[in-house]
Amino acid sequence: MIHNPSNKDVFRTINLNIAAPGAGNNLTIAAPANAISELVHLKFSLGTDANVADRLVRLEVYTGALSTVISASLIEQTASLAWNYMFQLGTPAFSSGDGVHHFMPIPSDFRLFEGWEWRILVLNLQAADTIASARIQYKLWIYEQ
Amino acid sequence: MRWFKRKPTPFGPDFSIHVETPPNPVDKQHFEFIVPDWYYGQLISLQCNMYVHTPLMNPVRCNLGYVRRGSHFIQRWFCHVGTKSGETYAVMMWPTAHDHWTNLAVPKPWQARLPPDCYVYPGDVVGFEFTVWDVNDWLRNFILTFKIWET
Repeated sequence: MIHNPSNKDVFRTINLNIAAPGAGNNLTIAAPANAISELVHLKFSLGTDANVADRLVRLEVYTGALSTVISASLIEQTASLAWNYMFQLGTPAFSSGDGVHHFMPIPSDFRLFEGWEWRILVLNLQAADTIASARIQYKLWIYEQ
Repeated sequence: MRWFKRKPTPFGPDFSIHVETPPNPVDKQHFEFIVPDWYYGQLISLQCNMYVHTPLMNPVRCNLGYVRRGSHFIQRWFCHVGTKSGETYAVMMWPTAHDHWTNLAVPKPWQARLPPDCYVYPGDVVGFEFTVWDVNDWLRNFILTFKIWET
């Protein structure tokens, strides 16, 4: 059977704001039900409290049984800082010269199924650290009903 | 081994499949997955956890991934993980990955690059192995993702 993506691989692009998880919590985003989804980008800010600790951000996909690390930030975020993170297709792993914008690549064609989750996990997360302004874009294929 | 198959869309035969292996394989040096006879596809990602028992230079580790058809290697790629004694790595390989790692997370995330257009056919073997190895090292928790088309 010949696959012809030009007229068969049809998807929608979804953009969503994600509610802040509250201080001291990591961010979890459920993959949509009755669909296949593929991350295009996920961005958010991380505000760190005054506690001295080296925070490190990573993106995992939880499959219902296992978590797989997708990508991770390059450098540690210390106390009392507000940084922006972007996990994105095609980007080089990069921390910009302004010190507050950080970019991490993600794989293309990595599809999530119903019941799976994207997870932002912060190593050494402190009680008053806050993830906010999260926004996700993903491609979506609806199941045949 | 757990399998997840994407349901067909109304638009065509395009699937994804996701393969997870048991966490504690008998063979901790090699991993191989045989493509079943009902699909062909494209290897999208290969992830595993790796533990390195002995110091960096004793010996330097080498990891190779591959696709082989019988004894013929269709694709081979090098996984450049700067292995250190007693450390566990989460190795994630995909075609546009950057060969980089981060310092603090345990296991340490480490990206390596797969060949793009890494297509597999029924009977092909997708593998990953330590080619230089210590008996106390291990590979486990393999997760493979394919984009597939039914044969």
